[in-house]
Amino acid sequence: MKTSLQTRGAIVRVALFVLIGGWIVLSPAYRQVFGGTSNWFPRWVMFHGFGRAVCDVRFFEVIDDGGERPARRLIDRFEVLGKERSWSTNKSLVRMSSKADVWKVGRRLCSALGDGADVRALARCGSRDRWKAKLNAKTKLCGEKSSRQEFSPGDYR
Amino acid sequence: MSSLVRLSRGLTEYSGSTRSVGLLRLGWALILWARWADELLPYRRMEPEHWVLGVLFFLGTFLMAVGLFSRTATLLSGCVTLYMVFIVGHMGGNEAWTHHHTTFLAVGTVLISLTPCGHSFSLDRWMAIRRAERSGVAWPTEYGNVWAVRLLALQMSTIYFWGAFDKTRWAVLGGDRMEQPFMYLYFGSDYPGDWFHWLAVLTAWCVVLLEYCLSFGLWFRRVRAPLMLVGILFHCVMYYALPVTVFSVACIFAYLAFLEPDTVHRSIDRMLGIKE
Repeated sequence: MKTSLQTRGAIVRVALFVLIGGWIVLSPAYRQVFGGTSNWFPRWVMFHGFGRAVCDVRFFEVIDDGGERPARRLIDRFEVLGKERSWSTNKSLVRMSSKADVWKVGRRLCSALGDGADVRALARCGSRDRWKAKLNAKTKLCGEKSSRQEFSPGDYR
Repeated sequence: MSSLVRLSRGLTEYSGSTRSVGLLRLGWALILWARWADELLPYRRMEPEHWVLGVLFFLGTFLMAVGLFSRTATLLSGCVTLYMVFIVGHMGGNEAWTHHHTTFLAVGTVLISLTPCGHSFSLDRWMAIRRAERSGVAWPTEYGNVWAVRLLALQMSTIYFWGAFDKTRWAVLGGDRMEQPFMYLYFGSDYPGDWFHWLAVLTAWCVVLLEYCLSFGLWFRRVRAPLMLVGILFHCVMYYALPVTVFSVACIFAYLAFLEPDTVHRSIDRMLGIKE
């Protein structure tokens, strides 16, 4: 009697081991290799898309000083707007999350610098993959609408 | 045929001290509270389904923590958390409950329930000792078949392996997907400088290599201790620097599944000053 129970217990354990172990090991392969979409099979992709809502941005003011080429001066957005670099009080200025955010800050810089200012930005934004180029410092942010850009490989370094 | 029987016996018969699984049960219950207790308080959502879920969760995890009807309580907690992850989370659209740490916690709870987790550090044991004393027999031993800890260890290895596999792409190894979260959290839209790029590349390679090493290495006794130390340090740094919440502490706790149960037993004896 006891032996029969022990055998039954062993069979149940083997069945559970194969079932659960198979699910643990093969589920991620189904999702991550074969592109399966069922949520009953977990995938382990920690930080796959976390923190991508950020843009790496540099603002410039283009000054036509009569030289052969207009001069390009790096702008400190906090200094120009008279704001503190603070996550608690000026978060949207510290971290721009999209191309639209960059345009918004660019327009604020245009207003602060006054009529005739020519503000441009070099911007790339995060994605699930590599950085995506968004603005290449050729577009004038003062008085222009967002448009498609062309980029050169060295634009961001 | 006999080799198949031997293999299945080897996988599902792993007798040893139950102290590791007792510790796992106790710690896991506390981690479940840290993750879900606040969200499951009755006033958080005025809906009967939420109240039922909350009552079952607190009943299961409380009994799990004190070790009363341990296996049943742990199984109840496991079923409730699985329901929360797969039904409320994935099917019901509660995205916050579908993350990797919640899935790991739910699966881990079910796996712990498959072990004799009430034989140590529990009210179950205290009552068993009282019964033995009344009957004049020897105290029950802290010993049992802890075969399911191997599944927990397998789950940990799987997490490391597939986590590393997902990061084995140029977006991560080239530094971009390391730079983005750190800029998002710390630097904002101001790129800190060239040093940051090289640090991101170095970090990415180290993390991926470490995850591959942990996924296989923790199974080998010779490299287990140093790898565990590096792994614990890795999880602590992650906990401090990134919003990983209870995932770090759950992973560190799950390392118990890789340790030989009798070694854990002897270590606890030594800590308590018991020589034999």
